[in-house]
Amino acid sequence: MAQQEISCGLDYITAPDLQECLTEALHANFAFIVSSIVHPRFRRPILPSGGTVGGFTRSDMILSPQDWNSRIVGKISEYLDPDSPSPVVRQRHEDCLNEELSYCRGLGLPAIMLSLHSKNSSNLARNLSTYFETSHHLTLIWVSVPMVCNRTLKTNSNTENEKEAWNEPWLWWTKFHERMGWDKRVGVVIELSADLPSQEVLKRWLGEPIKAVIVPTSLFISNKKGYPILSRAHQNVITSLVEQDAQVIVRGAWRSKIQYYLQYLYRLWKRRPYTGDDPMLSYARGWEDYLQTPLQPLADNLDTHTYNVFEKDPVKYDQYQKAISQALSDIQKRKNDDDQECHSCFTDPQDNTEIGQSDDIVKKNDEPITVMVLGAGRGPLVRATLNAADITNSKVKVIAVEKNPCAVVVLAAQVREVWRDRDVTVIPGDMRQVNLSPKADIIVSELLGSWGDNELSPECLDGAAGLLKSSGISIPREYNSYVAPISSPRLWAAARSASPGNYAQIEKNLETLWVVYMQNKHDIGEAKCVFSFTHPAKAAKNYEGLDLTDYRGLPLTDNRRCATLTWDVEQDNVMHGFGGYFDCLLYGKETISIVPSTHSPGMISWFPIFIPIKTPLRVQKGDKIKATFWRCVSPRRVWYEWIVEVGEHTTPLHNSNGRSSEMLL
Amino acid sequence: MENSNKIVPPHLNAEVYRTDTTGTSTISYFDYIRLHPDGTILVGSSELTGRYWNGAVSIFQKNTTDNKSHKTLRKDIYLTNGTADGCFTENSRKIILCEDNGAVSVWSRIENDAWNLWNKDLSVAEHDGAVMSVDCLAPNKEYVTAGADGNIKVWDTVDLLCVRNYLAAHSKSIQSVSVRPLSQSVFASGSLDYYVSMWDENIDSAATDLFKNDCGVRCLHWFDENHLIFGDEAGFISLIDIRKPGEVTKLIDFPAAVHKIVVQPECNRLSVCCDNKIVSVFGISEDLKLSLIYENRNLHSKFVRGMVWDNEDRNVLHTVGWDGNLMTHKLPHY
Repeated sequence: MAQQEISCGLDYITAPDLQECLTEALHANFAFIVSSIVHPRFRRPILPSGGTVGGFTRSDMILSPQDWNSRIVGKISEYLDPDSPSPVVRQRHEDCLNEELSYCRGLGLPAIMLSLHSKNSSNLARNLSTYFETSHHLTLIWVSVPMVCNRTLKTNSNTENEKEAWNEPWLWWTKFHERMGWDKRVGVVIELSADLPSQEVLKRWLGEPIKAVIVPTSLFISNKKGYPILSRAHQNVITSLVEQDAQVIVRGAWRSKIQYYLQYLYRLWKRRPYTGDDPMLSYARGWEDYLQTPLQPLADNLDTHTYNVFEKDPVKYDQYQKAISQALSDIQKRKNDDDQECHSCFTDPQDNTEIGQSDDIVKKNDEPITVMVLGAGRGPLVRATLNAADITNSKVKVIAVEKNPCAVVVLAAQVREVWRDRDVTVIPGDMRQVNLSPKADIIVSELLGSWGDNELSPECLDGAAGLLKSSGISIPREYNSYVAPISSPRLWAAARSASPGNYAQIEKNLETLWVVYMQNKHDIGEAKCVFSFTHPAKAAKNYEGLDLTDYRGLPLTDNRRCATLTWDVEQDNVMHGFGGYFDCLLYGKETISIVPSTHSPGMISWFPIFIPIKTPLRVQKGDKIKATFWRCVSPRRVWYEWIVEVGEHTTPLHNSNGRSSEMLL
Repeated sequence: MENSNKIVPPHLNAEVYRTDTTGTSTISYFDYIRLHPDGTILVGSSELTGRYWNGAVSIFQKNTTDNKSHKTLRKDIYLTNGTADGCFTENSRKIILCEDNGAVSVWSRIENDAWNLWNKDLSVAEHDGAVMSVDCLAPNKEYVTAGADGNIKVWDTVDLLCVRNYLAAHSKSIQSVSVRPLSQSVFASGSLDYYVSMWDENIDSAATDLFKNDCGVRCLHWFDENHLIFGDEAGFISLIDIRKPGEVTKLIDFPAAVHKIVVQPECNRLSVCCDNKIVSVFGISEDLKLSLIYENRNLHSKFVRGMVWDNEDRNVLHTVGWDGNLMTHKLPHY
């Protein structure tokens, strides 16, 4: 969730008087403090029996319980090394670690912080998993890693090593997170370095669940007045991390008054570049990374609140209106051309014909253009059509087809009350079944889902093909779905645990499309086109090369699809699934799109979708990701299946036979 | 116990504890001991498990009495933070202290001051973690400190200016720094990041990684110009010949992590304390083998932390520990 405020914590090297330190930090307006649970230099014998004599740290009664569980992030002793190659150290430190963890559990801390120094973390992960299993209080684990591995950086200063130095801490973290099963209770805390990595590395970090960014006081420089400030580059990194929900922790020797650091950070956040009045940003606030199951407007009837939300889109209906206007004037032009042709062919010269001719033109022009709105809902497209007619000064006959009885009531009321002077007819029923004449010059529909065809627009429009004249126009005319491989432990963990409980449900959740406003993710490759549909659709051909037709004489279309896409991996990463988008050509040049690179500005109707894969795949620079998607159709339902290959690794086939997710026809 | 005339309602037990701070000024963990050639002893102590994690330092003449405890030892300097190391500089009336909040400070006392008052002359908090260790590069002038932040700093102690700063010298806490004998510029550092490294103050950054251990290095001490002895978390004491970096000879192992090693060069002896109550002294033979000379298991009741060889009697070893006691060990004649 993008924050409105910046939340800062103060890391004490040691907090000699915890009460006093907490008071001091809160007084300076810090939200929390980070402090060692056990004195960092204190060592204690741990007997295998678990019996220790005497207290190993100060009494927890020095603070009130409220302070412990809202103001203190506890640091696990830095020396603990439960993954040491030395077995004796490993065992001793594991015992001490567990003692500190169980003490933290007793305190009910909001978060426990520990640091990673290598990619060996399996024993640490094992002990923390046990801790989670046995802990009922929701304590988060914050794992701190440096932004760069200084030792690798120093060993040999060539470019390959330098890249590796920036890559390593990320690897430590993801290896650890992987060992923790990408648990959403585990987040990363990143320590800002003096030098900053490339944009690619930074962007990859932005895809990780970053809980906090540590800003060492040594990074601050003094301005002319002697106040601590940060370089522009550091400011930008902090802002982008805080926008991803990270908190800020000030750590290190106090080279200035602590409140100056905080004041500076507040000012930095207030002065951040203005993001503009993007309606999407304000509309989506609170929905970041929140998973929803896609709507099934065909199988279910939408409720009035849903209609209400989607009618509010300031951009989408505008685009439709422009497209309808364009279509209307094209049809008018076509008619006029026809008339011209008639005139030149059939009219004899001289007077009486002139009257007849003008009559004829009037008659032709007078004949209204039939526009059918298929799936009219509560009528926004009817309104758009009427507007378009006014703009193009054309006469329209609007027929609104709607299957939802509740929406029909609303439409009928509008016809009676506000559109009483216009030619609007409401036809209740499923567009695939109603039979109307005259046929339409234009059919207008808005049946697209976040992934284009996933709300069964192709099936609906093909079923309604009989309503359109042979030269008629369909708005939309064409749409494409897109996918991009992404890394997002947060989305993946959220999808898996969307309905906690049985194992079977977890499996299903990872074979389902999720509608989500994705924020905490990183694109591994760019969005590529998967499936395309055009309307009116052409019939499939038989082996003789003839069009197939169904019993009603409508073209028999084949809406099954299969597409294989590949991406070259440019940076080590972990792939958790795909982001899914669509774009759509309505008519003429009018389009709508939620593909990131071409997103219609200000259009809020669609959040993208997240398509998970069951087991996240580790990908390395130079690898090729190969993904195949199928759109499968049976008489009763439509579903997607997908499979991903990276080098030697292949995921299982997802959603085989639509076992986990499907759209009912 | 005597009865108290103050009745505390039992349900306010926690609140009373939070506000009643009268019984908290025991700074009972002795961390290190240093001895000035004129017989002045410096003992640094910290409170590590009490309500306040503060520290104190006592400076006193050796021969007043032999064994001392935190109850009898007068604290000459009180610190708001604990102290992990410290040393004398110039004379026995001037000391450098390493504090847990990252500060390095210089304290002094006017000669023949009847009140025996110590003043803080200078203090600079530039380490971003506790200062763990200090050693002398050039007597009275240049000292090197190493911290839990992984940084090493060389100080001009006259003005307490940091003249050389090795940032991120190690990636985890540096536990110990030791200056090479007969050198004013070369020193070694040992860290929990498993590395033992050697530094030259005249060279900006390039360190020689002498050895990568299989667990954290807790302490190190030069045996002679070319040999470095270090102790680790696993309880091993090992020897590095700096002419053969990357190679190590494991000398002996202990049942607990080795906390400190103090070499007595003139006698080829080595005293060791671990994360336990035992003080041991080893002789080092020509071929660099250790032989146990002395072991004491019961003089201290908690972990032994600091040791120093006596300046007059080479068979006397003074030790301090977390039991808050200063003990004197008399070794069999050598």
